[in-house]
Amino acid sequence: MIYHLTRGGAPLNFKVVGNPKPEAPRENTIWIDTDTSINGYTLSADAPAEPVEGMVWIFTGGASTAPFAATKKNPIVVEPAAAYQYTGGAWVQKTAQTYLDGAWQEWKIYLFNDGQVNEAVTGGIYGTIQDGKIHFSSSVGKADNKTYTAYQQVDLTGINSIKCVFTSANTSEYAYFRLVVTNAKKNGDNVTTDYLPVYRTIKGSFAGRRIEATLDVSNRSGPQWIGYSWGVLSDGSTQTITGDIERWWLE
Amino acid sequence: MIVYIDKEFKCHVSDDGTMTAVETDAFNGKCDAYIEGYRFVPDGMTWTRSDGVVFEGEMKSPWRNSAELEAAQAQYERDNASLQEAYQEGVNSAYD
Repeated sequence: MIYHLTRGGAPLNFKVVGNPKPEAPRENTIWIDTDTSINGYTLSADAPAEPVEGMVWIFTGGASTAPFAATKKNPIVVEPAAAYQYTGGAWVQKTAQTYLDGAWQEWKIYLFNDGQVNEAVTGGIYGTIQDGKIHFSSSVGKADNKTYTAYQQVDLTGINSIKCVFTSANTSEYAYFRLVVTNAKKNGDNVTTDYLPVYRTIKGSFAGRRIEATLDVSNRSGPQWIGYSWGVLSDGSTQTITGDIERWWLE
Repeated sequence: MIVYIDKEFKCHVSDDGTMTAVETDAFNGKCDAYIEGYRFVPDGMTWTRSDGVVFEGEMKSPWRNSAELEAAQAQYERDNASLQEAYQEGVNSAYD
């Protein structure tokens, strides 16, 4: 997101490079993990209409983890969320980092991280924040689930994956956690899989393990209701499920 | 319902002899065009996207543009509603 504009020209304050990753980078160096020559770059929310082979598109989506001042005077602050390179006739997502304050910063759009909800992107999240995590603890019946979404739709344009890290002490083989895209806002409702346009279900005993769940949304763009569920399979029985989402983000 | 998945986990409504049958509720009430625009990765299996990201099942995600699939489903539901309405009119007229 660009939230200040300069008048006239302003020297750029960053540099985009490919492999090898610089060992002694300058501040605001953007490294793209690519061995293909970078043939120009653009910073925008929409993919370039007429790309050329090797071009890098830096997707500027919602609040990013690596904002930087792109110009030296009257700075334009850029919030990079993802990087793509045009190769073989398609945009291919690339790992990218920015060197800021003496360290490499990863690019992600966090929905929830370090106990904080990214309200600029989500508007808020249904569920309970407890001890720095999105906490769930409830009795769930057989063939039932409780689904929660963000308060507002999240724009998935330019986003390929939704990810989260969660833990649960659950030891039942019939419980599950699910990352979802739904068709409406949800606050604890039961939503079956035929009403979920996109989902990833992780079943079984979690037994305290830290688990990373990844959901493919590369063909689902625009404003979407994204969320999560905790549930019990149809061949299970009513039980208390307890779990915590530690981080939740878009890539 | 039964759907058939190919080696790329793309869904099909009929088997060409090379596919795997999967029973799932994830496509209940959906038209063929919608179903065949989806990928279904069963529990215990993995699919690797073209950019190298690995996804584990169970996962349901579109491989065709989602907006096109939903347009096809909406048309299917409108067509079904029209058929149902015509059928009911026929039934009603039989009692006139």
